[in-house]
Amino acid sequence: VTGPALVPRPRVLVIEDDPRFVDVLERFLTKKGFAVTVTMSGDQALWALNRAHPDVAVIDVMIPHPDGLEVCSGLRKAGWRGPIAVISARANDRDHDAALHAGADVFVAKPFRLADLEATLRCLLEGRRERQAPPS
Amino acid sequence: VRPRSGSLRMKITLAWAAGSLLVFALGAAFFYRDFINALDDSVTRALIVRVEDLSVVPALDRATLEADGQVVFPSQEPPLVEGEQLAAALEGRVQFDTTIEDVGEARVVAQPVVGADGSTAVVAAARSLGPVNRARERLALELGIGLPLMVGVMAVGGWALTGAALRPVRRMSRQAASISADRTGSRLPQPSGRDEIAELGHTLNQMLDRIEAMVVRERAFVDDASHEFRSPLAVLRGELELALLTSGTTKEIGARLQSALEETDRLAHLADELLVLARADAGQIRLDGGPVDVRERAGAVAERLRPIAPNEIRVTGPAAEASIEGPLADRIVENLLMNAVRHARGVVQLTVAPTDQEVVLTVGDDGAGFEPSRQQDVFDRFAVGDRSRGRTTGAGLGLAIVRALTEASGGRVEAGRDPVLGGALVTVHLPAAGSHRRLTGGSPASSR
Repeated sequence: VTGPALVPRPRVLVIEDDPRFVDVLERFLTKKGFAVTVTMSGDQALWALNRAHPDVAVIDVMIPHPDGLEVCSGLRKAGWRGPIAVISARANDRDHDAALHAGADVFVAKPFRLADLEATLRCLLEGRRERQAPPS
Repeated sequence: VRPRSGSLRMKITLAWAAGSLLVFALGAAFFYRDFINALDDSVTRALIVRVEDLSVVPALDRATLEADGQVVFPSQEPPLVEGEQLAAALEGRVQFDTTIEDVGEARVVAQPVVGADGSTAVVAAARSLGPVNRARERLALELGIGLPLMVGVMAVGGWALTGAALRPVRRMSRQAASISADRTGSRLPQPSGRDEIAELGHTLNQMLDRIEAMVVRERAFVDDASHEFRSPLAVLRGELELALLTSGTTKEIGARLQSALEETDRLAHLADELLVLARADAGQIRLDGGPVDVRERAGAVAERLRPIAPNEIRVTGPAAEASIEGPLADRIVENLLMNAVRHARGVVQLTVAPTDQEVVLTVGDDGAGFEPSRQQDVFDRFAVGDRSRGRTTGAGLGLAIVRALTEASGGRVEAGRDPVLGGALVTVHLPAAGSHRRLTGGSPASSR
């Protein structure tokens, strides 16, 4: 009966098609206490969302059709309000704006420090909790 | 406009003025000479007529002399003709210029006449040269003033005309100075009309179009290349971070480092591919390489790949010599086979077929094939079509390299559907050994 076991692990949905990077993300996030669900193509995103009920989603832009931005706006259209972090190896201003326009909360350019991703996800989750339970 | 020494306008104007000066000066010199000669002749001719008239006047005293149209009787002092001139005049008609008191410079014509008594005398007539000399001075003065004036008018006209003709050039030059790599969309003002300057403007604008297209292509390439470097770097960085975080066994750390090592291999391979493309772009590939036996090379490459390929690789066709550098042929075959192996379900078929002018190399597979809508783009650098077929390649450069090396060697490439295996089919046309014909104009659309 220890403390950490009582705290629910935050659920993260990772949508990324590069198996090597999926492996890295899965291992790291699991190690950091996240419950990770992975889908490697965009068309399975909604299905994975309904199955895993994630608290936060990490979506790579460059995945085969539909691409990450289409998935992002698709999740928003489906009514999902959870925080979305879009990651991409293509990282100019246009890509950044397109991601935010598609409904992402944050854009992270590859390569990034895994610790930074963790901090970003925790920050997004924190913000979501505050929005859900505003001070009276 | 301020005249600038050394400017084209100044040079044209100076040349124009110098030419005008030369033409006018020559014209004036000839005119002056002919005019004065004609005047001079008219004086002489009038005197000759006068002397002839006097010679046939019987009543006249033989010593009649005439000066400046006035008949002077019986003679004048000193006589008009004397000494050597008198002796010559007794032999035949003479003419000479002399100075006569109260008259000035005058021309004298004298000729012998034989009297009724058989004696010979000399008849002479003289006329002042004053009017001729005055006309000569006046003409010289008029030409002296008129000539520089005319040259001046021509120079000013030339300056104005060249200024008008070169104005569009100056406008284009000003606009060209403001075009930079950041503003490749700007164009030069197109001069109206269909003259040489309008043509120059048109040609320069076409050149700017081509440069802009090239800059856009280069930027996209650098953008894509940067992206392709970022993906393996992200994995590499992640693996190393994980290795540092790992508190578990050395075996786990070893696995992380092994994975990191594979990513560095991917990065090195990518750098190598970019270098090959840069070399092809820079035109460092010989057009008349070889000859190499494509069938033999393909067989050797396939042999090398078979142990690591999960599919069956078949190579068929007769020996066929193509005009291409050997290592490039290897690279083309290897990239085609690697691409096909990656997407095939079970079989990859390489066929070599020589014709008179070319060696046709086809590689087909039984995979999903190219998406019809993306068939045009499969040879593009970092082609999306490649990625959509699965992202195990790393960078979408394999087929781009095939095209770059083939075209640099004077050949062409096509993409289509394999009629037998049903998957993707890539056809490479290489110039046959000994044929220096460039195979151009291929579109990546058709298949056999």
